Amino acid sequence: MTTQTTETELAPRRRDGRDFATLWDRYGILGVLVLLILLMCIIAPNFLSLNNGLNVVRSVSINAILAAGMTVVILTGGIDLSVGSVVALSGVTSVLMWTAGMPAIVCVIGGILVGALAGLVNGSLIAYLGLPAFIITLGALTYIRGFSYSLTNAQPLIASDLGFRGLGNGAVAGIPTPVVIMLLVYLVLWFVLDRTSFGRHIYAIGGNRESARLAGINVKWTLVRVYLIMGACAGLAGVIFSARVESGQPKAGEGYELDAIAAVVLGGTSLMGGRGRIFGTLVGALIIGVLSNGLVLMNVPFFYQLIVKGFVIVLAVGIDGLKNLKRV
Amino acid sequence: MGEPLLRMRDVSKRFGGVRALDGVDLDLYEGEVHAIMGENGAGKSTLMKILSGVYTPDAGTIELDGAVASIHSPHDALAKGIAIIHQELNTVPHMSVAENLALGQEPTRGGVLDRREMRRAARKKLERIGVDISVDQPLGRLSIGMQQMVEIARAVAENARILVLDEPTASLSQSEAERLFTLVEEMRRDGMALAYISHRMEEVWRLSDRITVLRDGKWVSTTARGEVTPEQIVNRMVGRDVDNLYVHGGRRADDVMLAVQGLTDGRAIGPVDFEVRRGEVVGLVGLIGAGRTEVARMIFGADKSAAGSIHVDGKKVSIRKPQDAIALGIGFVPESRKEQALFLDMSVRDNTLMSSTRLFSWLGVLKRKLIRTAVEKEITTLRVRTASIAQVISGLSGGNQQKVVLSRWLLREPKLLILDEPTRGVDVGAKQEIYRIINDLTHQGVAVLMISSDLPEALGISDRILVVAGGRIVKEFSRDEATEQSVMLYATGVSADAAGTASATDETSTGRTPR
Repeated sequence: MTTQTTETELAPRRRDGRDFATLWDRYGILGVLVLLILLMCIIAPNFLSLNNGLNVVRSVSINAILAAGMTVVILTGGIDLSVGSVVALSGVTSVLMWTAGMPAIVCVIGGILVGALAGLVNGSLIAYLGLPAFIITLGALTYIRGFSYSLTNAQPLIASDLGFRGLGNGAVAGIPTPVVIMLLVYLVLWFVLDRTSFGRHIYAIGGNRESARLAGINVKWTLVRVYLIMGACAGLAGVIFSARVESGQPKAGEGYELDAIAAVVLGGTSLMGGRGRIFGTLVGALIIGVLSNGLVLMNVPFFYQLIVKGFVIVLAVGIDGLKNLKRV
Repeated sequence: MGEPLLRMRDVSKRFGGVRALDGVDLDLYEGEVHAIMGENGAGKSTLMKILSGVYTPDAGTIELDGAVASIHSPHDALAKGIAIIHQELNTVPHMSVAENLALGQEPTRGGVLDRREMRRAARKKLERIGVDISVDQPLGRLSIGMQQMVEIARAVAENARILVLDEPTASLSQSEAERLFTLVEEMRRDGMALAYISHRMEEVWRLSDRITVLRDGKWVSTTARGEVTPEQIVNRMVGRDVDNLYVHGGRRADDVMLAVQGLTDGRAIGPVDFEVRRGEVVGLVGLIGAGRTEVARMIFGADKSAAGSIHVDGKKVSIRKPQDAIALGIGFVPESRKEQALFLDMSVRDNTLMSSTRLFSWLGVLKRKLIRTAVEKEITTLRVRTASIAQVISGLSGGNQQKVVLSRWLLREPKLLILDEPTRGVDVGAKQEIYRIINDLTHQGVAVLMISSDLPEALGISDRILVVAGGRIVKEFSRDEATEQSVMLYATGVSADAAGTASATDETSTGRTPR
């Protein structure tokens, strides 16, 4: 027995980080980003400049923050379609608080808390009533949008003296503030996912919910916290959005949920849950950003941009699907 | 015996750097049941997948009726008369029996599905294997055994001459298995060649004409059944003598660890009363569907109970969810490893750690060094064969995966372990190691409640046997009293009288009343 390999039939599936399949799994998408950047340097005029580089990351930051939270949700096998509406509601709330004369820091925290509250409601309905995340958050997408319209009478709230506008337009050591915040969000969520018991539970629930329950993981409470994190990320993104446009926009964030999901999937996270990495999502968001930016620089009309973006997403997911087919 | 129907010679197959098959020979004759045995990973499935066209061999020849043939795909295999029944059912539960039987070859008339023809063909296929059921009912409403019959009907339809059965009784009840055996014998009489893969020696002995043993991808022997003993076959499978397969010794039952009274789900299960003491293994045996698993799940809090009390260590406890049970020092190894215990995409380390994250973290942050040391220690103690603790668990063999599930609980130093079919789908070598682990645990004062459908195993490692039938405990045996025959008598409820009279003279009457 000791000299015998009982794993013979399973041996080709050895995956502990050293074989090619794993390397491709882990870094393939990064290679795609590098290739895309090289390509853009060649074909897009003025792509290669520090200014444009900062431009790309700044424009990516809001989607990337949403996508970070979305990664956590999708890792559990869930989905949150309401994040775009939450961006609007949080943004509007923070601006309303400012115009009511509250200090900037309170407005920022208030905006984030509104997002977290939306996540808490979503998460509780999903976890404790066992309702499908798709439906619950589809409903939330609609009613939260309604709230943000009703708070502002469907009019934008201009606040050119917004005390926290630095969050959107400022810079720290030459790096745009939203980018710094985005990187912090990624570092924190990476730590949570990789180094905490909560993080391991997230992967476990997405990988096999019944196993997780029988292993003694508090599945419901974990799910509530996951949607709460998503909500807080969306709240933060909403505040940054308001800061950037120096106003509260009830129409903000329309369709953002789809861009966030696209970044997550591009980054290699399985929509079935249990598999994926947060930095993959950052790369996914950057791919979308670089692509949009390059197309704009090349003066490609907006509707062709949509077509290209859509194809790239389908292509990336298609490659992933083929990879999984081969594995079986 | 004449010419074989199928002759495989010197067949080899590699996956990456691993030789899954290395020069294997196999002959199948008309009208024989040929058992293929070997531990998990011995190459049985690979060989059968080559035969049925799923894989193409790297080397070697396949002859059908004396002529060299190549089998490109499962479809091609079917066209050449080779059909395979896989371990897992391959059917669509919500479609009707007739639709399932026609799957992929639906009869049409003018481009439109011809339902009448479909049902007629379905009836004919079922008739061929002697099954008489309505073809209009949804397949999912049938028992697992009957669903398997339907699958066999689909496979052997038309011109099948070679049928491969891969662990066909794994999820069947006793009576369903009986029915399958009858069918196998009929197909043999009809001149079909059957390749029969099974871990269960008893059914191999009953059905097979010849037995081929594989080990480590190599052919070991092919022998007529009458010329060997089961012990010899097992020795060939593991490559050494397995004396004392069932490890049992040095135990001393102590205080009552778990006491269950009047536990019921309010419907089909219970009420049941029993105790498990420190340092003993109590076997919960019975037929599939008797309610053993349900009892275990209620104790662990995986399912709700309607009434009854549970005492752990003399204290009355309330267990409403698995967390409660785990906090009380109870561990549970569920019957279905992949669906209920493992996280297949995660590492050996995370799979071991998953029930103890709180013990190994500070303010929610995992203590990685401590975890590495603790997990490596368990992995070494249990002799889990893995490249490292970072290895993804799906790459391990069934036996090693099961040991990781055990290590998850051992990491918590449990007081009571509930094991539901702990050696299902595990090869002989790993089985013995699991028995050794269980025995070691009893020495440390752990109480073990074990469910097993493998009667020799249950009798071999338990100190007491509780027989479950119809959701109740109908009989308790001490280790010395229990025999396979006596246990089966109660498990099958041969007669209510038998149970009644036995309990009247039952010297171990500790308030246990069979109904």
